[in-house]
Amino acid sequence: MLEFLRRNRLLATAALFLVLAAGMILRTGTSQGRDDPLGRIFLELMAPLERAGTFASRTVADAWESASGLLRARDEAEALRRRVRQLEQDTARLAETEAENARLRTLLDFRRTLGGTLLATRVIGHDAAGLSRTLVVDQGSAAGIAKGAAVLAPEGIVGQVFQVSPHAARVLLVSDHNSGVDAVVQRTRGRGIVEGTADGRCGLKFVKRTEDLQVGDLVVSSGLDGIFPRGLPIGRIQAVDKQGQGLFQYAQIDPAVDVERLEEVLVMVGAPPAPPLADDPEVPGPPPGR
Amino acid sequence: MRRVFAIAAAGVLGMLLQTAVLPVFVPAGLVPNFLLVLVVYLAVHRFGAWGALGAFLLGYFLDTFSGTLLGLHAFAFTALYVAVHQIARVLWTAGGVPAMLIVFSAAFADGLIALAWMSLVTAAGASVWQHALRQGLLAATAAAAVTPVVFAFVSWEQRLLRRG
Repeated sequence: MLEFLRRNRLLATAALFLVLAAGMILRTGTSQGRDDPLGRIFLELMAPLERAGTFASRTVADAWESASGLLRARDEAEALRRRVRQLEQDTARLAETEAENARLRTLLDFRRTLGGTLLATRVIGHDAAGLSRTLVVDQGSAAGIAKGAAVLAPEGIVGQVFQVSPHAARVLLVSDHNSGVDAVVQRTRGRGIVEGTADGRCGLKFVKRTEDLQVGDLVVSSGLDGIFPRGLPIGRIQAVDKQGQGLFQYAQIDPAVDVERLEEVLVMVGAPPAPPLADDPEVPGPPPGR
Repeated sequence: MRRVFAIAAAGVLGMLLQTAVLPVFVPAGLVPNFLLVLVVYLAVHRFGAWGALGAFLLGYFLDTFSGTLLGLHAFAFTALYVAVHQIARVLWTAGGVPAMLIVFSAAFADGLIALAWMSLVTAAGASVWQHALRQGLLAATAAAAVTPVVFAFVSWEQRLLRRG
């Protein structure tokens, strides 16, 4: 018997503990409460460790919770900031679109009023150096734009095309010193030539000294140069100079179009619609070629 | 003696983790049964009859902090110790995936044994079985997942004590 137990010590020990455990189960299962002296010792010994463990883990959990709360708050704040930025961009874009719509609507109305074939183009560049006054527009010969075409804005004359590529064109502004437009003073019908000045404004020259020029008089295109339609505003007289010698007087003009702020312009494709005033005795010949 | 101390220390640490630390961070059903993993460790490293005593005491220790039936886990752990010990005689289960598989099976069997006793003593209904089986799968998975860590920790502990 002892030999058997020695050979099967594990099974015998396990069987003993199994019986012991089964007895404990049956005993505690059928009695109220639990009489467990060893368990009480375990409980007593483990209590401080559990207290410390729970405290430590709760501290860590609280710290984690606080940290993650802060991170969440930071993320939320960042998300809100992003949203505000997005909304601000949207608002700016909307305002931009609104302004563009208004400009285009004005251009469209102007185009209807003017008649003829006008091509709406976008200004995509300004003069690279400060010596000349030119613009670059985003349409070229592929869209029908030809050299010499009139470039207009609802406020008045902008200039004329002097260089064309298939998909772009350069515009010589009316305020450039190489530019010249046949013009009349709207109030008096006195005729002259508007040319650009070095400071970016315009001057009206070749006006007879006998003409009554007043500051504020509107100067418009005569249509006689065969480039610009008749009656388009060029600018208002800012100052009159009659001190020079000779037959003519000179007037300084403030251009009607602020070229610095131009974003869209209309380019006239083909000949201008209105014929020149051939029967007007006050109208001199076309401007000297430049 | 050093081995006993190593297992005892691991048992206390496992109990602390099970009762005080992990419940703060992990849902109740997912807290692994470290003590069961220790029983499997004893069995696969073939601690012999002393291992049966260790399994019984670890079960008893668990019973102190779990449920109302004293001896439930003591019984289950002792039975599982014997079963895994027998398996370990013919199969290598001392580490890696085999150890995880054996822990998974042991954890599931532990649940079944406990439920069987509960049904016998407290007349647990079918709904308790359904819930316990679902819970048992989760608990078994959690226990299997921590097996490599527990095994490595006890081995490290023993090496440390041997050096000391």
